[in-house]
Amino acid sequence: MMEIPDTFAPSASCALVRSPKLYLPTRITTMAAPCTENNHKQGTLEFALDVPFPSTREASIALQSLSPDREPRKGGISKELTVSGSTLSVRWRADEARILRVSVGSFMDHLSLVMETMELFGPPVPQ
Amino acid sequence: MTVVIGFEGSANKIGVGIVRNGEVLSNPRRTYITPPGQGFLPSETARHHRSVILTVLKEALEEAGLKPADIDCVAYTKGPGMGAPLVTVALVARTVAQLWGKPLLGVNHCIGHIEMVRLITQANNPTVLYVSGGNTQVIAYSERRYRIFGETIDIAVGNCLDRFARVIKVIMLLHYVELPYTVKGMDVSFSGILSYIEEAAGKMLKCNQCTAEDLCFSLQETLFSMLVEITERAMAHCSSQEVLIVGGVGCNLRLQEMMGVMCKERGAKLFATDESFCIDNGAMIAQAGWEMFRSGQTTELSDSWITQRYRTDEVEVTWRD
Repeated sequence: MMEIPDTFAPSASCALVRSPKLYLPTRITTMAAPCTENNHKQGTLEFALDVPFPSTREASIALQSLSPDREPRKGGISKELTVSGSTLSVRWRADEARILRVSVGSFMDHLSLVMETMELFGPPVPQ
Repeated sequence: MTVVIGFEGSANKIGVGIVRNGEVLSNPRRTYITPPGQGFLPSETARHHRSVILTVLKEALEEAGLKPADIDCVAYTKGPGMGAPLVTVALVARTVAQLWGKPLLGVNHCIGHIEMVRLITQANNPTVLYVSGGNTQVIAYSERRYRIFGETIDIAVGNCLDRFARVIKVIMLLHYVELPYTVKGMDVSFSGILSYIEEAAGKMLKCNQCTAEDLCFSLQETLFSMLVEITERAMAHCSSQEVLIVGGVGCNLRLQEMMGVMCKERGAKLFATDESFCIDNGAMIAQAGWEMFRSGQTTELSDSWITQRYRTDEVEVTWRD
């Protein structure tokens, strides 16, 4: 299972190994940047997640499913989802580590539900 | 023939239903039940829904004997309800809509209740009493809106009953104890009665002034009388001769009985359904979706966000005159 590091160390990377179904991601890489000396006063934390999909279409489906809902907590956190090639990228900015952990944790639950749905009811019909 | 699949999970029930031109082809459902004395919280409810939703979806298709290609539209509950469970369900609906290449439709939960019971009872233009754990509204249709004539100004009637049941930990009936009666014009208020009876329970039971059963009975009698009163007031305003009770609390036979007495006195007709459709289910979302889809509505993915607050009168009822 995916582990989110308790302390954000620069360039931490995690590997996710899954069952050998072709259209499930076999590795998710993450990179976390803690507040540096320079922006310590602002206290802005960043977290980046890149999720490979078997095709651009599937990455886009995931994007469209995961982006409409707003963050439950209004202030202190923002995230941005984009697709580039067949990779879904997510970038978070948060003021506090706890808020960031909650948001990333929720997102991982949602992502895995979307992936499981795609596994059971995919592949997508031709457009 | 239009086939719509509907996903519902705004509270502790998760259901997926399929409807085809007024026929319910399948309607499987699971309920998240917490240990006695505890209510259900959003994150745990969402976790429950997440663990069963794909199984329930498969069941819905199998029981209906349909393949995804046979579906014309994917409907889901946009709101109102609890945030985390709503998101869980919306994620699956959005994903299958895209996988299967079908249009998506966000449905108002309350309208789902109304459209399903309208379908089953074939009531023409009823005054609707919508009573559940999360909602208490009196609704009447007028000029393309389901207008809220009266509602609770604080908690829902089901919430009031549930919370007192947790305090008293019992269920039954006997002799009537007088409680505050708080109808405010077209609206009702329950939180004052709840505080009063929670406190009274402590004192009165200690002095053996009454039994726990008496208090439960009295609470039901009082709350239901209030609901019957505001329903009657709406009927008088709209000159309506039909009443429809929807929502989980609508299963309560005493409420149906009391409403029946009022209707008889007015020469009006009462419509109610059984548990399978009173309580939240997927087919009600499918049915409302069917009406909306046939009148030309769909929801763009970017607009498909869920919302905890979604008033019944915000929706344009394009499928009725």
